[in-house]
Amino acid sequence: MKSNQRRSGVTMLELMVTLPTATILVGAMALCITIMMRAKSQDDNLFRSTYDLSVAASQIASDLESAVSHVSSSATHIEFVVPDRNGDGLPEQMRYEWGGATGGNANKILWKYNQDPLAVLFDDVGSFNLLKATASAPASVSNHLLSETAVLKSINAFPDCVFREQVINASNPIGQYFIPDVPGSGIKWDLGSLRIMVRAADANADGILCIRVMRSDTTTKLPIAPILAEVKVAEARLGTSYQWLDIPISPISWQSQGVPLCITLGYGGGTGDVALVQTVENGTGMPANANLVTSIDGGTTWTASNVTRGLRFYAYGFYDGYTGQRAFLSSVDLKLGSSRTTTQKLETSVRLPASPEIP
Amino acid sequence: MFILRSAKRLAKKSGVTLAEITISVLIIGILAASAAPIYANSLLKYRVDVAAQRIAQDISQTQRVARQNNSTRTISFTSSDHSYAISSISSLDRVSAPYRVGLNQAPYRVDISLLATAAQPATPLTSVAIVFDRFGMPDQGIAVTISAGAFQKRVDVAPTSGRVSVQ
Repeated sequence: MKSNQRRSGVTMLELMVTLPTATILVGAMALCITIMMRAKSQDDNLFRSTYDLSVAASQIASDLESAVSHVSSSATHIEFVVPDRNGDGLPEQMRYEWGGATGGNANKILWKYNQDPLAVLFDDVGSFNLLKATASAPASVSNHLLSETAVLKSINAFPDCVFREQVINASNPIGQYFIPDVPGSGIKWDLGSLRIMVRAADANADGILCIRVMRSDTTTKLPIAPILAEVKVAEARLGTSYQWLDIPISPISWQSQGVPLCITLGYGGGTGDVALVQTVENGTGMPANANLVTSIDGGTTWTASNVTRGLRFYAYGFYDGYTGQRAFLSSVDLKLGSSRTTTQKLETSVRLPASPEIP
Repeated sequence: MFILRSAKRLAKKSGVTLAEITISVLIIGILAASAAPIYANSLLKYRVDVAAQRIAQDISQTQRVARQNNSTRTISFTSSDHSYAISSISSLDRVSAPYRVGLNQAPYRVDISLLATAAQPATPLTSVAIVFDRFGMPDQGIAVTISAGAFQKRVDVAPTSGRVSVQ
Protein backbone atom coordinates (compact mmCIF):
# COMPACT_ATOMS: atom_id res chain seq x y z
CA MET A 1 0.00 0.00 0.00
CA LYS A 2 2.75 2.44 0.87
CA SER A 3 4.73 1.72 -2.25
CA ASN A 4 1.59 2.40 -4.25
CA GLN A 5 1.18 5.76 -2.59
CA ARG A 6 4.76 6.88 -3.35
CA ARG A 7 4.68 5.80 -6.98
CA SER A 8 5.69 8.59 -9.31
CA GLY A 9 6.78 8.96 -13.01
CA VAL A 10 5.02 7.92 -16.16
CA THR A 11 2.85 4.91 -16.67
CA MET A 12 3.33 2.42 -19.45
CA LEU A 13 0.16 3.72 -21.06
CA GLU A 14 1.43 7.29 -21.10
CA LEU A 15 4.72 6.17 -22.64
CA MET A 16 2.91 4.16 -25.29
CA VAL A 17 0.89 7.22 -26.26
CA THR A 18 3.65 9.83 -26.19
CA LEU A 19 6.42 7.87 -27.93
CA PRO A 20 4.48 7.11 -31.14
CA THR A 21 3.12 10.68 -31.15
CA ALA A 22 6.62 12.11 -30.89
CA THR A 23 7.88 9.70 -33.55
CA ILE A 24 5.11 10.69 -35.95
CA LEU A 25 5.78 14.38 -35.39
CA VAL A 26 9.54 14.09 -35.83
CA GLY A 27 9.08 11.84 -38.85
CA ALA A 28 6.70 14.28 -40.50
CA MET A 29 9.10 17.15 -39.90
CA ALA A 30 12.03 15.17 -41.31
CA LEU A 31 9.96 14.33 -44.37
CA CYS A 32 9.11 17.99 -44.91
CA ILE A 33 12.78 18.98 -44.70
CA THR A 34 13.82 16.16 -47.04
CA ILE A 35 11.23 17.16 -49.63
CA MET A 36 12.31 20.78 -49.36
CA MET A 37 15.98 19.95 -49.83
CA ARG A 38 15.22 17.69 -52.77
CA ALA A 39 13.17 20.34 -54.46
CA LYS A 40 15.94 22.87 -53.94
CA SER A 41 18.89 20.86 -55.15
CA GLN A 42 17.56 20.38 -58.66
CA ASP A 43 21.07 20.68 -59.99
CA ASP A 44 22.03 17.38 -58.52
CA ASN A 45 19.35 15.25 -60.01
CA LEU A 46 19.54 13.32 -63.16
CA PHE A 47 16.41 14.78 -64.63
CA ARG A 48 18.02 18.19 -64.88
CA SER A 49 21.09 16.69 -66.47
CA THR A 50 19.08 14.87 -69.14
CA TYR A 51 17.05 17.98 -69.79
CA ASP A 52 20.21 20.07 -70.30
CA LEU A 53 21.56 17.47 -72.74
CA SER A 54 18.39 17.59 -74.80
CA VAL A 55 18.52 21.39 -74.91
CA ALA A 56 22.15 21.28 -76.07
CA ALA A 57 21.40 18.66 -78.70
CA SER A 58 18.39 20.53 -80.07
CA GLN A 59 20.29 23.80 -80.26
CA ILE A 60 23.20 22.26 -82.15
CA ALA A 61 20.76 20.42 -84.40
CA SER A 62 18.73 23.52 -85.25
CA ASP A 63 21.88 25.45 -86.18
CA LEU A 64 23.33 22.55 -88.17
CA GLU A 65 20.14 22.17 -90.18
CA SER A 66 20.68 25.57 -91.75
CA ALA A 67 24.37 25.00 -92.52
CA VAL A 68 25.22 26.02 -96.06
CA SER A 69 28.94 25.52 -95.90
CA HIS A 70 31.24 23.21 -93.97
CA VAL A 71 34.47 24.66 -92.56
CA SER A 72 35.92 21.85 -90.46
CA SER A 73 34.77 19.01 -88.25
CA SER A 74 36.04 16.15 -86.10
CA ALA A 75 34.52 13.79 -83.53
CA THR A 76 34.53 16.60 -80.99
CA HIS A 77 33.88 19.74 -83.01
CA ILE A 78 32.12 21.12 -86.04
CA GLU A 79 32.48 24.52 -87.66
CA PHE A 80 30.11 25.66 -90.35
CA VAL A 81 28.53 28.64 -92.03
CA VAL A 82 24.85 29.57 -91.87
CA PRO A 83 23.05 32.24 -93.92
CA ASP A 84 22.93 35.81 -92.64
CA ARG A 85 21.19 36.13 -89.29
CA ASN A 86 21.84 39.66 -88.11
CA GLY A 87 20.97 41.54 -91.28
CA ASP A 88 24.46 42.66 -92.28
CA GLY A 89 24.30 40.73 -95.53
CA LEU A 90 27.09 38.40 -94.40
CA PRO A 91 26.82 34.73 -93.63
CA GLU A 92 27.57 33.76 -90.02
CA GLN A 93 30.25 31.27 -89.08
CA MET A 94 29.85 29.21 -85.93
CA ARG A 95 31.72 26.48 -84.16
CA TYR A 96 30.54 23.98 -81.56
CA GLU A 97 33.33 22.29 -79.68
CA TRP A 98 33.51 19.89 -76.76
CA GLY A 99 36.13 20.83 -74.17
CA GLY A 100 37.24 17.23 -73.53
CA ALA A 101 37.05 15.11 -70.39
CA THR A 102 39.87 16.87 -68.56
CA GLY A 103 41.42 20.31 -68.46
CA GLY A 104 40.04 23.80 -67.98
CA ASN A 105 37.05 23.33 -70.25
CA ALA A 106 36.35 19.74 -69.20
CA ASN A 107 32.79 18.55 -69.81
CA LYS A 108 31.73 21.78 -71.46
CA ILE A 109 30.37 22.58 -74.88
CA LEU A 110 31.99 25.72 -76.24
CA TRP A 111 30.54 27.94 -78.91
CA LYS A 112 32.17 30.41 -81.24
CA TYR A 113 30.20 32.92 -83.26
CA ASN A 114 31.96 34.70 -86.11
CA GLN A 115 34.96 36.44 -84.60
CA ASP A 116 33.85 36.27 -80.96
CA PRO A 117 36.09 34.19 -78.67
CA LEU A 118 35.08 30.65 -77.75
CA ALA A 119 32.55 30.82 -74.90
CA VAL A 120 31.03 28.15 -72.68
CA LEU A 121 27.52 27.27 -73.80
CA PHE A 122 26.64 24.12 -71.82
CA ASP A 123 28.10 22.47 -68.72
CA ASP A 124 28.07 18.84 -67.65
CA VAL A 125 28.42 17.18 -71.02
CA GLY A 126 30.56 14.16 -70.17
CA SER A 127 30.95 12.80 -73.66
CA PHE A 128 30.51 14.11 -77.17
CA ASN A 129 30.68 12.13 -80.36
CA LEU A 130 30.01 13.57 -83.76
CA LEU A 131 29.65 11.25 -86.74
CA LYS A 132 29.41 12.55 -90.27
CA ALA A 133 27.51 10.86 -93.04
CA THR A 134 28.80 11.97 -96.41
CA ALA A 135 27.53 11.58 -99.94
CA SER A 136 29.97 11.47 -102.81
CA ALA A 137 29.40 12.95 -106.20
CA PRO A 138 29.04 10.22 -108.86
CA ALA A 139 31.83 10.20 -111.43
CA SER A 140 29.38 10.39 -114.34
CA VAL A 141 28.23 13.90 -113.42
CA SER A 142 30.05 16.68 -115.21
CA ASN A 143 32.61 18.23 -112.91
CA HIS A 144 32.08 21.55 -114.59
CA LEU A 145 28.49 21.62 -113.44
CA LEU A 146 29.33 20.27 -110.06
CA SER A 147 31.95 22.85 -109.26
CA GLU A 148 29.95 25.80 -110.42
CA THR A 149 29.97 27.36 -106.98
CA ALA A 150 33.54 26.47 -106.10
CA VAL A 151 35.37 29.27 -104.31
CA LEU A 152 38.56 30.04 -106.21
CA LYS A 153 39.77 32.56 -103.65
CA SER A 154 38.26 34.47 -100.77
CA ILE A 155 39.27 37.14 -98.29
CA ASN A 156 36.65 37.83 -95.67
CA ALA A 157 36.50 38.04 -91.88
CA PHE A 158 39.54 36.51 -90.16
CA PRO A 159 40.29 36.38 -86.42
CA ASP A 160 41.79 39.68 -85.18
CA CYS A 161 41.41 41.33 -88.56
CA VAL A 162 40.59 45.00 -89.11
CA PHE A 163 38.29 46.26 -91.86
CA ARG A 164 39.32 49.45 -93.62
CA GLU A 165 37.40 51.65 -95.97
CA GLN A 166 38.80 52.49 -99.38
CA VAL A 167 37.32 55.17 -101.57
CA ILE A 168 37.30 54.66 -105.33
CA ASN A 169 37.43 57.63 -107.67
CA ALA A 170 39.09 58.73 -110.92
CA SER A 171 42.57 58.85 -109.39
CA ASN A 172 42.27 56.04 -106.82
CA PRO A 173 41.37 52.64 -108.26
CA ILE A 174 42.05 49.50 -106.22
CA GLY A 175 42.96 45.99 -107.28
CA GLN A 176 43.35 42.48 -105.96
CA TYR A 177 46.01 40.09 -107.20
CA PHE A 178 45.35 36.41 -106.60
CA ILE A 179 46.18 32.90 -107.75
CA PRO A 180 43.06 30.70 -107.55
CA ASP A 181 43.15 27.72 -105.18
CA VAL A 182 42.39 24.51 -107.07
CA PRO A 183 41.95 21.09 -105.44
CA GLY A 184 44.87 19.27 -107.08
CA SER A 185 47.45 19.54 -109.82
CA GLY A 186 46.60 19.70 -113.51
CA ILE A 187 43.16 21.14 -112.89
CA LYS A 188 42.09 24.05 -115.04
CA TRP A 189 39.81 26.77 -113.80
CA ASP A 190 37.57 29.53 -115.08
CA LEU A 191 36.11 32.55 -113.36
CA GLY A 192 32.32 32.60 -112.91
CA SER A 193 31.49 35.49 -110.64
CA LEU A 194 32.86 37.94 -108.11
CA ARG A 195 31.43 39.04 -104.80
CA ILE A 196 32.71 42.24 -103.22
CA MET A 197 31.79 44.21 -100.10
CA VAL A 198 30.79 47.60 -101.42
CA ARG A 199 28.57 50.63 -100.86
CA ALA A 200 27.73 53.89 -102.62
CA ALA A 201 30.27 56.65 -101.93
CA ASP A 202 27.82 59.49 -101.42
CA ALA A 203 24.13 60.41 -101.38
CA ASN A 204 23.86 61.67 -104.96
CA ALA A 205 25.18 58.31 -106.25
CA ASP A 206 25.93 59.52 -109.75
CA GLY A 207 29.15 57.59 -110.42
CA ILE A 208 29.80 54.37 -112.27
CA LEU A 209 32.03 51.66 -110.83
CA CYS A 210 34.14 49.78 -113.36
CA ILE A 211 35.19 46.23 -112.45
CA ARG A 212 37.84 44.63 -114.61
CA VAL A 213 39.43 41.21 -114.69
CA MET A 214 42.98 41.53 -115.93
CA ARG A 215 46.07 39.43 -116.38
CA SER A 216 48.68 39.90 -113.72
CA ASP A 217 52.44 39.73 -113.46
CA THR A 218 53.52 36.83 -111.22
CA THR A 219 56.59 38.68 -109.96
CA THR A 220 55.38 42.25 -109.48
CA LYS A 221 51.77 41.16 -108.80
CA LEU A 222 50.54 44.20 -110.74
CA PRO A 223 47.75 44.16 -113.33
CA ILE A 224 48.81 44.00 -116.99
CA ALA A 225 46.95 43.99 -120.30
CA PRO A 226 44.80 42.51 -121.70
CA ILE A 227 41.50 43.16 -119.98
CA LEU A 228 39.79 39.76 -119.85
CA ALA A 229 36.39 40.98 -118.70
CA GLU A 230 34.79 44.27 -117.77
CA VAL A 231 31.56 45.02 -115.89
CA LYS A 232 30.18 48.46 -115.06
CA VAL A 233 27.88 49.01 -112.10
CA ALA A 234 25.99 52.27 -111.50
CA GLU A 235 26.64 53.75 -108.07
CA ALA A 236 22.89 54.17 -107.66
CA ARG A 237 22.61 50.35 -107.69
CA LEU A 238 24.88 50.05 -104.67
CA GLY A 239 23.45 50.19 -101.17
CA THR A 240 23.87 53.11 -98.78
CA SER A 241 25.47 50.70 -96.30
CA TYR A 242 28.00 47.95 -96.92
CA GLN A 243 26.60 44.84 -98.56
CA TRP A 244 27.84 42.03 -100.77
CA LEU A 245 27.51 42.68 -104.46
CA ASP A 246 27.49 39.67 -106.77
CA ILE A 247 28.94 40.37 -110.17
CA PRO A 248 28.57 37.71 -112.86
CA ILE A 249 31.62 37.46 -115.12
CA SER A 250 31.37 35.96 -118.57
CA PRO A 251 33.78 33.01 -118.77
CA ILE A 252 37.32 34.07 -119.62
CA SER A 253 38.35 30.63 -120.98
CA TRP A 254 40.10 27.82 -119.13
CA GLN A 255 43.17 28.89 -117.21
CA SER A 256 46.02 26.68 -116.09
CA GLN A 257 46.81 26.07 -112.47
CA GLY A 258 49.00 28.79 -110.93
CA VAL A 259 47.99 31.52 -113.40
CA PRO A 260 47.43 34.79 -111.51
CA LEU A 261 44.62 37.27 -112.10
CA CYS A 262 44.04 40.82 -110.99
CA ILE A 263 40.61 42.29 -110.33
CA THR A 264 40.54 46.06 -110.48
CA LEU A 265 37.81 48.36 -109.21
CA GLY A 266 38.02 51.82 -110.71
CA TYR A 267 36.31 54.86 -112.12
CA GLY A 268 33.86 54.11 -114.91
CA GLY A 269 32.12 57.47 -115.38
CA GLY A 270 30.09 60.13 -113.58
CA THR A 271 31.34 62.67 -111.08
CA GLY A 272 33.16 62.40 -107.75
CA ASP A 273 33.73 59.20 -105.80
CA VAL A 274 32.07 56.15 -107.34
CA ALA A 275 32.11 53.62 -104.49
CA LEU A 276 33.49 52.61 -101.11
CA VAL A 277 34.93 49.12 -100.70
CA GLN A 278 36.23 47.27 -97.66
CA THR A 279 39.71 45.88 -97.25
CA VAL A 280 40.85 43.37 -94.63
CA GLU A 281 44.04 43.89 -92.64
CA ASN A 282 46.23 41.74 -90.38
CA GLY A 283 43.88 38.81 -89.88
CA THR A 284 45.06 35.42 -88.72
CA GLY A 285 44.73 33.00 -91.62
CA MET A 286 44.89 35.49 -94.48
CA PRO A 287 45.45 33.44 -97.64
CA ALA A 288 48.75 33.27 -99.47
CA ASN A 289 49.05 34.39 -103.09
CA ALA A 290 46.69 37.31 -102.62
CA ASN A 291 47.80 40.92 -102.53
CA LEU A 292 46.07 44.26 -102.61
CA VAL A 293 47.27 46.62 -105.33
CA THR A 294 46.65 50.35 -105.24
CA SER A 295 47.18 53.34 -107.49
CA ILE A 296 47.03 57.10 -106.99
CA ASP A 297 47.19 58.13 -110.64
CA GLY A 298 44.08 56.52 -112.04
CA GLY A 299 45.68 53.18 -112.73
CA THR A 300 48.68 54.27 -114.81
CA THR A 301 51.07 52.93 -112.18
CA TRP A 302 50.21 50.39 -109.51
CA THR A 303 51.77 49.41 -106.17
CA ALA A 304 51.33 46.02 -104.53
CA SER A 305 50.82 46.00 -100.76
CA ASN A 306 52.21 43.31 -98.51
CA VAL A 307 50.28 40.07 -97.95
CA THR A 308 48.60 41.24 -94.75
CA ARG A 309 46.11 43.34 -96.68
CA GLY A 310 43.46 42.34 -99.17
CA LEU A 311 40.16 43.30 -100.75
CA ARG A 312 37.13 41.81 -99.02
CA PHE A 313 35.96 39.56 -101.84
CA TYR A 314 35.04 36.12 -103.11
CA ALA A 315 35.96 34.76 -106.52
CA TYR A 316 33.76 31.89 -107.70
CA GLY A 317 34.47 29.73 -110.67
CA PHE A 318 34.62 26.30 -112.29
CA TYR A 319 37.14 23.47 -112.38
CA ASP A 320 37.98 21.38 -115.40
CA GLY A 321 39.75 18.04 -115.31
CA TYR A 322 38.88 17.43 -111.69
CA THR A 323 38.60 13.67 -111.30
CA GLY A 324 38.59 13.38 -107.54
CA GLN A 325 35.36 12.51 -105.83
CA ARG A 326 33.79 15.38 -103.98
CA ALA A 327 32.18 14.69 -100.64
CA PHE A 328 29.08 16.41 -99.36
CA LEU A 329 27.90 16.42 -95.78
CA SER A 330 24.42 14.91 -95.80
CA SER A 331 23.79 14.29 -92.11
CA VAL A 332 25.40 14.46 -88.70
CA ASP A 333 24.81 12.07 -85.81
CA LEU A 334 25.45 13.58 -82.44
CA LYS A 335 25.78 11.53 -79.27
CA LEU A 336 25.91 13.50 -76.04
CA GLY A 337 26.51 11.98 -72.61
CA SER A 338 25.90 13.33 -69.14
CA SER A 339 28.91 13.96 -66.93
CA ARG A 340 26.92 12.70 -63.93
CA THR A 341 26.42 9.20 -65.18
CA THR A 342 28.17 7.12 -67.80
CA THR A 343 25.02 5.31 -68.85
CA GLN A 344 23.01 8.34 -69.87
CA LYS A 345 23.39 9.08 -73.58
CA LEU A 346 21.33 11.24 -75.84
CA GLU A 347 21.46 10.66 -79.56
CA THR A 348 20.23 12.92 -82.26
CA SER A 349 20.54 12.81 -86.02
CA VAL A 350 20.48 15.96 -88.10
CA ARG A 351 19.90 16.08 -91.84
CA LEU A 352 21.58 18.92 -93.69
CA PRO A 353 19.27 19.89 -96.56
CA ALA A 354 21.94 22.11 -98.17
CA SER A 355 24.50 19.26 -98.20
CA PRO A 356 27.57 21.50 -97.91
CA GLU A 357 30.74 20.28 -99.54
CA ILE A 358 33.55 18.98 -97.35
CA PRO A 359 36.75 20.45 -98.73
CA MET B 1 -10.41 6.06 7.77
CA PHE B 2 -10.98 5.89 4.06
CA ILE B 3 -11.32 9.67 3.83
CA LEU B 4 -8.09 10.17 5.73
CA ARG B 5 -6.23 7.76 3.47
CA SER B 6 -7.49 9.49 0.34
CA ALA B 7 -6.42 12.86 1.64
CA LYS B 8 -2.97 11.49 2.41
CA ARG B 9 -2.64 10.10 -1.09
CA LEU B 10 -3.69 13.41 -2.59
CA ALA B 11 -1.19 15.32 -0.56
CA LYS B 12 1.67 13.00 -1.47
CA LYS B 13 0.85 12.81 -5.18
CA SER B 14 3.97 13.77 -7.06
CA GLY B 15 4.20 15.75 -10.38
CA VAL B 16 6.36 18.50 -11.81
CA THR B 17 7.21 21.43 -9.64
CA LEU B 18 7.15 25.05 -10.74
CA ALA B 19 10.97 25.10 -10.71
CA GLU B 20 11.16 22.12 -13.04
CA ILE B 21 8.70 23.69 -15.46
CA THR B 22 10.57 27.00 -15.36
CA ILE B 23 13.90 25.33 -16.10
CA SER B 24 12.60 23.21 -18.96
CA VAL B 25 10.68 26.10 -20.54
CA LEU B 26 13.82 28.22 -20.21
CA ILE B 27 15.97 25.57 -21.94
CA ILE B 28 13.42 25.13 -24.72
CA GLY B 29 13.26 28.91 -25.07
CA ILE B 30 17.05 29.25 -25.38
CA LEU B 31 17.23 26.45 -27.92
CA ALA B 32 14.40 27.93 -29.95
CA ALA B 33 15.90 31.43 -29.77
CA SER B 34 19.24 30.19 -31.03
CA ALA B 35 17.67 28.14 -33.82
CA ALA B 36 15.15 30.74 -35.00
CA PRO B 37 17.59 33.09 -36.85
CA ILE B 38 19.25 30.13 -38.54
CA TYR B 39 15.87 28.86 -39.65
CA ALA B 40 14.77 32.32 -40.81
CA ASN B 41 18.03 32.78 -42.72
CA SER B 42 17.77 29.39 -44.36
CA LEU B 43 14.26 30.32 -45.49
CA LEU B 44 15.55 33.57 -46.99
CA LYS B 45 18.44 31.79 -48.71
CA TYR B 46 16.07 29.14 -50.00
CA ARG B 47 13.69 31.76 -51.39
CA VAL B 48 16.51 33.61 -53.19
CA ASP B 49 17.90 30.34 -54.60
CA VAL B 50 14.54 29.19 -55.90
CA ALA B 51 13.69 32.60 -57.36
CA ALA B 52 17.06 32.70 -59.17
CA GLN B 53 16.43 29.24 -60.58
CA ARG B 54 12.99 30.28 -61.75
CA ILE B 55 14.37 33.37 -63.50
CA ALA B 56 17.13 31.31 -65.15
CA GLN B 57 14.62 28.72 -66.33
CA ASP B 58 12.26 31.35 -67.70
CA ILE B 59 15.03 33.12 -69.63
CA SER B 60 16.12 29.79 -71.17
CA GLN B 61 12.50 29.00 -71.92
CA THR B 62 12.06 32.35 -73.70
CA GLN B 63 15.13 31.57 -75.82
CA ARG B 64 13.85 28.09 -76.69
CA VAL B 65 10.36 29.30 -77.56
CA ALA B 66 11.84 32.01 -79.81
CA ARG B 67 13.89 29.38 -81.63
CA GLN B 68 11.06 26.85 -81.87
CA ASN B 69 8.48 29.35 -83.10
CA ASN B 70 10.92 31.08 -85.42
CA SER B 71 9.91 34.51 -84.11
CA THR B 72 11.21 37.00 -81.57
CA ARG B 73 10.37 36.76 -77.88
CA THR B 74 11.08 39.40 -75.27
CA ILE B 75 11.59 38.95 -71.55
CA SER B 76 11.47 42.25 -69.66
CA PHE B 77 12.36 42.91 -66.04
CA THR B 78 11.07 45.85 -64.01
CA SER B 79 12.74 46.75 -60.74
CA SER B 80 9.97 49.04 -59.42
CA ASP B 81 7.44 46.23 -58.99
CA HIS B 82 10.04 43.43 -58.83
CA SER B 83 8.52 41.52 -61.69
CA TYR B 84 9.25 40.20 -65.16
CA ALA B 85 7.07 39.36 -68.11
CA ILE B 86 7.53 37.37 -71.33
CA SER B 87 5.91 38.47 -74.57
CA SER B 88 3.65 36.09 -76.49
CA ILE B 89 3.84 33.35 -73.88
CA SER B 90 0.72 32.79 -71.81
CA SER B 91 0.55 32.45 -68.06
CA LEU B 92 0.95 29.02 -66.51
CA ASP B 93 -2.38 29.42 -64.71
CA ARG B 94 -4.54 31.06 -67.35
CA VAL B 95 -4.07 30.80 -71.07
CA SER B 96 -5.63 34.20 -71.67
CA ALA B 97 -3.29 36.01 -69.26
CA PRO B 98 0.23 37.11 -70.15
CA TYR B 99 3.21 35.39 -68.57
CA ARG B 100 4.18 37.57 -65.63
CA VAL B 101 6.00 36.67 -62.44
CA GLY B 102 5.89 38.98 -59.42
CA LEU B 103 9.03 38.11 -57.51
CA ASN B 104 7.95 40.06 -54.44
CA GLN B 105 4.86 37.90 -54.07
CA ALA B 106 4.47 34.40 -52.67
CA PRO B 107 6.19 32.00 -52.88
CA TYR B 108 9.40 33.93 -53.67
CA ARG B 109 8.99 37.27 -51.85
CA VAL B 110 12.36 38.56 -53.05
CA ASP B 111 13.34 41.96 -54.45
CA ILE B 112 15.08 42.81 -57.69
CA SER B 113 17.93 44.82 -56.19
CA LEU B 114 19.90 45.57 -59.35
CA LEU B 115 19.11 45.48 -63.05
CA ALA B 116 21.92 46.11 -65.49
CA THR B 117 23.15 45.25 -68.95
CA ALA B 118 26.24 43.10 -69.41
CA ALA B 119 27.88 46.01 -71.23
CA GLN B 120 27.42 48.33 -68.23
CA PRO B 121 27.04 46.10 -65.17
CA ALA B 122 27.52 48.96 -62.70
CA THR B 123 24.76 51.18 -64.06
CA PRO B 124 21.42 50.42 -62.37
CA LEU B 125 18.41 50.49 -64.65
CA THR B 126 14.72 50.65 -63.78
CA SER B 127 13.85 48.16 -66.48
CA VAL B 128 15.77 45.96 -68.86
CA ALA B 129 14.66 43.61 -71.62
CA ILE B 130 16.24 40.95 -73.78
CA VAL B 131 14.90 40.29 -77.24
CA PHE B 132 15.70 36.80 -78.47
CA ASP B 133 15.61 36.68 -82.25
CA ARG B 134 14.24 33.74 -84.21
CA PHE B 135 17.58 31.96 -83.87
CA GLY B 136 17.51 32.33 -80.09
CA MET B 137 20.20 34.96 -80.06
CA PRO B 138 19.80 37.78 -77.54
CA ASP B 139 20.18 41.43 -78.55
CA GLN B 140 22.21 42.07 -75.39
CA GLY B 141 23.46 40.47 -72.19
CA ILE B 142 21.95 41.40 -68.84
CA ALA B 143 22.51 40.86 -65.12
CA VAL B 144 19.58 40.59 -62.69
CA THR B 145 20.41 40.68 -58.98
CA ILE B 146 17.72 39.55 -56.58
CA SER B 147 17.90 39.75 -52.80
CA ALA B 148 16.06 38.80 -49.64
CA GLY B 149 17.52 39.93 -46.33
CA ALA B 150 21.30 39.62 -46.50
CA PHE B 151 21.18 37.04 -49.30
CA GLN B 152 21.49 37.80 -52.96
CA LYS B 153 21.97 35.96 -56.24
CA ARG B 154 22.81 37.22 -59.68
CA VAL B 155 21.40 35.77 -62.87
CA ASP B 156 23.63 36.55 -65.85
CA VAL B 157 22.68 36.25 -69.49
CA ALA B 158 25.70 36.21 -71.78
CA PRO B 159 25.55 38.40 -74.88
CA THR B 160 25.49 36.55 -78.24
CA SER B 161 25.02 33.04 -76.84
CA GLY B 162 22.30 33.84 -74.31
CA ARG B 163 23.77 31.36 -71.87
CA VAL B 164 22.15 31.78 -68.43
CA SER B 165 24.24 31.36 -65.31
CA VAL B 166 23.36 31.86 -61.66
CA GLN B 167 26.00 33.25 -59.33
